[in-house]
Amino acid sequence: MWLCVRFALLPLESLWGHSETTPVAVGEQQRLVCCNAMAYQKGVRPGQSVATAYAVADSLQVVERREHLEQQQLKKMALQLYPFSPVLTLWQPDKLLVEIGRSLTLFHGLDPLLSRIRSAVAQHHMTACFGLGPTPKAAELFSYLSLSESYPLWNTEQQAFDNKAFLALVDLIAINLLPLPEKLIDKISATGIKTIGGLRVLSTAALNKRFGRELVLYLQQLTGEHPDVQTCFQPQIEFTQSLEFIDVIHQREALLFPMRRLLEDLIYFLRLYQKSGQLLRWKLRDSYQVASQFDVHLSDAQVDFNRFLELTRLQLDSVNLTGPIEWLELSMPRLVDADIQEQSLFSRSEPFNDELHFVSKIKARLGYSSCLWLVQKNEVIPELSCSLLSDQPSDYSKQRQSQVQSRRGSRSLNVSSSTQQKQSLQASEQNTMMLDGDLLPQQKIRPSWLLPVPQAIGRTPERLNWQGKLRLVSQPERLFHHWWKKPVSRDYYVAQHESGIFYWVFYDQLKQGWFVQGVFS
Amino acid sequence: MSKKASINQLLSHPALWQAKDSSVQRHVHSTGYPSLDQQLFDGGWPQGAVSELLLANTGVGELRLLSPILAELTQQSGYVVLVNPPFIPYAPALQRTGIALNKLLVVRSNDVSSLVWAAYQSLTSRSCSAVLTWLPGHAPYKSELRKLALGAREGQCWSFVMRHQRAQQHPSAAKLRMALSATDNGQTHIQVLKQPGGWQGREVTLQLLSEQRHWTRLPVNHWPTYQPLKKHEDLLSPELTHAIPRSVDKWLKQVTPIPHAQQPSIH
Repeated sequence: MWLCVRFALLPLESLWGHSETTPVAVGEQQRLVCCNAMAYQKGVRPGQSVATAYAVADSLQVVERREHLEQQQLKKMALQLYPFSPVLTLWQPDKLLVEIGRSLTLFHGLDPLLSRIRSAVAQHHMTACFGLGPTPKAAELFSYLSLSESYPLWNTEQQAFDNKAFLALVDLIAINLLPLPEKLIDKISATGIKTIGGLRVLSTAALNKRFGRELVLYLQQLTGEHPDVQTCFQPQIEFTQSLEFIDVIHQREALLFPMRRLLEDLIYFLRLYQKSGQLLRWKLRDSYQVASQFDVHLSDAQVDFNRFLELTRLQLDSVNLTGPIEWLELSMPRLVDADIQEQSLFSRSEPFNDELHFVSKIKARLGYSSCLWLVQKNEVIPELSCSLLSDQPSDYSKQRQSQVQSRRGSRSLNVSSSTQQKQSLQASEQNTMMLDGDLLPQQKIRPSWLLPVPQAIGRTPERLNWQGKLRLVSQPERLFHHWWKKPVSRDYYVAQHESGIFYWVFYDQLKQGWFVQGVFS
Repeated sequence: MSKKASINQLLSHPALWQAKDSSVQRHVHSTGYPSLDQQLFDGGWPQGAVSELLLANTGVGELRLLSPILAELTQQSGYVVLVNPPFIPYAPALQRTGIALNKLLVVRSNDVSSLVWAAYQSLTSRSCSAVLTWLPGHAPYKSELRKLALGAREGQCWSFVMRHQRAQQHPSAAKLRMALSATDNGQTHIQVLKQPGGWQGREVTLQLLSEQRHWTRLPVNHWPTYQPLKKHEDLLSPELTHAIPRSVDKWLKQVTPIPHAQQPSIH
């Protein structure tokens, strides 16, 4: 049992910002392809030339047809209908064929299923015509009729189509509705045959001889005498979606509306595939064809519409826009499997959570490198042993994950074993990063603050000078290292400033001078 | 609502201090230094409020003072954010005091309003247990401190603000204010300028850098003198010189030994 969903206004509805109050039509090569209700009321018809249409309705806005957007929209709708049936086919240019016979039990019958499909389509502001039939080609033909024609063919009690009524309905369908080459249709019409019934009374051999094999095959597939194999729609696991606007957008704030729609689609996609990512990539093109793009970095893998929107808004404020925007694209590169965090239903209340949304916010407003993680490295030279990273070190996030898993307990043993493997792999990759170990023996004292660059100290025979008098108070600690590339040899001391502050100073044997490197605090 | 009910509601407000009932417990976290806890009326750092540390100089002991609470907070859920620290926090030293580095974040910006915004976001996120903000200069920062105080109250976390001692003259929205200065013998002198429920002017001197007791103050004439050796080749035995790679050879020649002769004994 096939359901055909035909998007009659797809060329118009795949464009962003079509209004119901002004007449709009989509044209291709000076011919109109479709128009909205307002234009139709004024007498505009698909198939008219653009000049005729303007003569009929002077306030008409004609937009160029963009087929790639239609393709994208059709795929998007296929994704929306995919939950209802895995057997789904895209029929270019504007139809989706869904095999719903095997989904009836799951959705408690035909009516609830149809109403759910209707609401899924309506949610995306699409106009759709439906047709039901025992074969895909029949469903396609019936989508040109009202659903009330094809719906009674289904016998709910017997869970089958009424074959007699079906053939009777097929016989009534006009020839010019058939999706066959125009030449062939003209040839059939020339013989005086007006409906499919007129064709079906003729013998197969006669049809074959007069109109060719193509028509015979079509009719056989239409009535189910010949199998009609379909290739199923396989959703791609990547997200890139764009919108093109009928009217250009002049205001930054107004961009948020189409962005909201793209984000909604993204969230739906991520939920469906249990994926998440760390980056939203927005691309914009203005009416001078200048393209720009900006990235929104996400600190944690939470999938949340409001967060995505808020971060995008913060980032958008700092983007330099050069002209009115006519095209917008959202993509999420590097999708990763979502980190499913199971929580017990009656969790104990924790005072603070470990979400990193505030980091995303700070990064979005103050720049990507404004919020940094402190990382200790397995190095002897002090300035190399500590660094600040913009990205959360993966070991840290793994640590978080393992904490979550340990909280989850034994229920998810199989999951944790696979992540443990990953963890050990990552640990071996990043063996230079030191998290738990402590290289320093306890007696060696280290300052809490490190100066970004060691600063030179003035030395007179009596004293050391650095913003005042310094005097050495500790034993020397020799540090030499890196003899294989750039040798370092320093004697470190603790020095007390005249203000009472302790500094970490060293004598560099190669540079032959005193330097201050750290502050004890 | 009756008048009595509205008064009762007012009396139950946590911000209202009642002289007759000084036993109202405010949430605090021990400073980790018993002698300081004794001087504080509530016995620790207040939760959901700003504690302001006025420093005579950076490095007067502010991190050591805060390290016990930071070490404990980073072992639990929630992050600790350092907003605009004066230098790079040195990871090995922090780790030794027990602070978990994976819970530590550093926020940097050149603009004070951005810093305060970032601190406010962190405070109100419910993901941060403590936020340390260093405010540059000694401007009054009246509205900034007010904002941080509101953020701390909303997020119910510990907020610390570090400023220069000269800001002492300006009023502040911080609940707890302390002035920190270093003494000559390497200790930190703390003066409580303002605290909820208690008297101001309490003073305490802490030995925050406990390693000091191992140090010896070297008289100037005992300081090491480093002078390049004139005859570098003397250091190496002649039959070995050919076996040493040139780069290492060059380096060896430049290095002088630690001045043993002047090294004093450790007390």
